[in-house]
Amino acid sequence: MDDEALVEQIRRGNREAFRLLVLRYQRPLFRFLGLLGFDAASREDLAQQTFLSAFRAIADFDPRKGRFSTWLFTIAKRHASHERERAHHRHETPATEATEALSRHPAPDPAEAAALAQRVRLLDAALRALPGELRSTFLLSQINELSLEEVAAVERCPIGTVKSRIHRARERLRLALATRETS
Amino acid sequence: MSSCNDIQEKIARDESLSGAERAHTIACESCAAVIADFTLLEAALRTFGTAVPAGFVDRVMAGLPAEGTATPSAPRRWVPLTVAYAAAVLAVLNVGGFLANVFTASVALGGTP
Repeated sequence: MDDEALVEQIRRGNREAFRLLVLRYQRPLFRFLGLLGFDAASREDLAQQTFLSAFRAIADFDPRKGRFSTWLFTIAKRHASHERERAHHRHETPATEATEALSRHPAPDPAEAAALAQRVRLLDAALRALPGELRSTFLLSQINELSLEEVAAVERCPIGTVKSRIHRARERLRLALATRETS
Repeated sequence: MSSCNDIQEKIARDESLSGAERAHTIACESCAAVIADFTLLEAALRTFGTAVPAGFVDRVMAGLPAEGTATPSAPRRWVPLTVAYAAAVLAVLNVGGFLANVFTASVALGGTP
């Protein structure tokens, strides 16, 4: 059943249809939030807020204006921005995603583990160093759920800008990894 | 035949390469290195933030408004309209009360209503 059919079911009061949507999008949503630099606790809070907001506003979703995934990631992005502002006011530094990623992907031998650890830390630092709009656009495209048109809708910019941002982000990340790996 | 710059630009843009271009990347050290870099980048990206905590979907479902308290299909203007009607009723009652008070005061003072 496609997203729009599930939304119709939810509007008719079928909560199990909403569960299916959560199951379908929880992974890309956690991935998006993780790549934005939120720690595990914040990721869960933000993902919950996103799904709850989507449920409450499901009557407002209009499939003629775009896909459900675009709408959902727009909500997630709004919550993420608010959380960033709140964290900034609290002067908090986000916990490193690199440590968590490494604990989830232990490498079999020490040499490989060290190389992976180095790579993940470099990537973490490089992602954090990207300007906000570059990082957000790049991550939305990396989710693989959003097309260029959909990323443009979430980011509210032309498709050409999306392409250019993705290209610049990829190049910066590649150079960050390549330079350090060879040094 | 595309130049190394053109090919590397395509790789950076994640665009598909032609057969000749793919063959070139095997022979050319510089282009092969760029492909290796991006493969490394994509592998590293895959390690990030993919884990969904156990029981997450159940916690989301438990956090939804209780059934009957919020209907997803309910038009959003329902609440404002109700508030508007309530305000209108109160306004009418207030005006009525005010007129009643004027009437009572007028009678008490011996005037004609």
